[in-house]
Amino acid sequence: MSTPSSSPWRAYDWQLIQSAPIQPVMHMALDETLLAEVAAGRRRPTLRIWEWAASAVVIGRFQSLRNEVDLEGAQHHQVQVVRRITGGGAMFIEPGNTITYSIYAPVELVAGMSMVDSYAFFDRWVIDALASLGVEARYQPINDITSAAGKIGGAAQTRRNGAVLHHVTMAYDIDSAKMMEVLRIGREKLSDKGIASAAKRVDPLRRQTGLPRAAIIERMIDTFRAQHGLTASAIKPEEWEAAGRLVETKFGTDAWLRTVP
Amino acid sequence: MDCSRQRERPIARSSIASNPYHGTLHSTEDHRTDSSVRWQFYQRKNHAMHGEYKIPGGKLVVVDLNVTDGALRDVVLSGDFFLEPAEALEWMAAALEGLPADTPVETITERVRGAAAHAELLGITPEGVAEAVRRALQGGTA
Repeated sequence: MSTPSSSPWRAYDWQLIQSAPIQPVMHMALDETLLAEVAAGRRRPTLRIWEWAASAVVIGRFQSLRNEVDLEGAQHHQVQVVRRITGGGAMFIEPGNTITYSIYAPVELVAGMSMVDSYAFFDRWVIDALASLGVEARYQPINDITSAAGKIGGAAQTRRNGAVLHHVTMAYDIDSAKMMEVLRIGREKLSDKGIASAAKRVDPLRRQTGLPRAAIIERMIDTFRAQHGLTASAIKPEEWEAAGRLVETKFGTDAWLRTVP
Repeated sequence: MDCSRQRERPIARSSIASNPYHGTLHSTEDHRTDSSVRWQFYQRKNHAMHGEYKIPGGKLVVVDLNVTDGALRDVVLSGDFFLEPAEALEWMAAALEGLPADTPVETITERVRGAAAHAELLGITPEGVAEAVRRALQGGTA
């Protein structure tokens, strides 16, 4: 860990957003909205901790809906299906079972870094937070947070107009049986490392720490604040409005969900 | 187009509850735009061929396509890779559209490389796309 004075993070007045649980589709829209706000200079670089109001499968920007999701299984379990703006793999989300956050930053923060290096850079503070809780987590390129006992989470990024969105979902707990009923996990995906993004031998943080989910999030926030500085913030009314419009015109539409059929 | 329904969907409802997920049909394409992003909407097609390739150290690349009169048609590329800009997905798929089905894998690789020349690829390579195409053409049905 670098000292605060030499850290590129310290060039910014980081804002923290923690809002009440919201619908998965609104989370998708908020990511695009807040990325655009940071890109436009209307919002300072921000860390947003997500709370989910419903179960969801979140598929990557370039994933095929029908290849990845068992839509009947999802409907049966009342799991919503949404597509995010970043690449990467499908995630199965249940409220209370996942810890999800987004970082919205100017690309200058990772200037000169390769894409692969920037993934590890953005989550260094989380690795440190987990270490302080006794979890020996490490980054496994390209975009996995893992430990000796199994995969903990995955990251994804996209860049737009001089800003970068880096978001991560980590497993706090997992209902593997239900996950296998809503996600389709093919054999080819398992061929390389013997593990698939969604089905990788997941070892959730609950088992690894024995702590309540809220306590882990609190430690994460404390660690970010200690390393980079952090100021309490909120989603602005105009940001809610912009995100709501994006739900109507994009993220809530079948056209977006099936942009890769 | 059968896009009228989604307009009526309340925001808070499950996005799958009202999805008209039905087994249609043809390759009508529609370009959607909002304030910041353009994306392509393919109507669901029945693809005859499906190929998957997990790039070692990278991500899964999936190709779905048809072969009509000896040429690649309705090519859809997908997977859990990363691309910047997102439109590069369409650039690469478009570069495969209409290619003779007996095109050498090296030529397919170069077509994809050219299409993605101005994109950033992470976890996906032109060679990987070509291998997924080769597997689709050899493997047959999805």
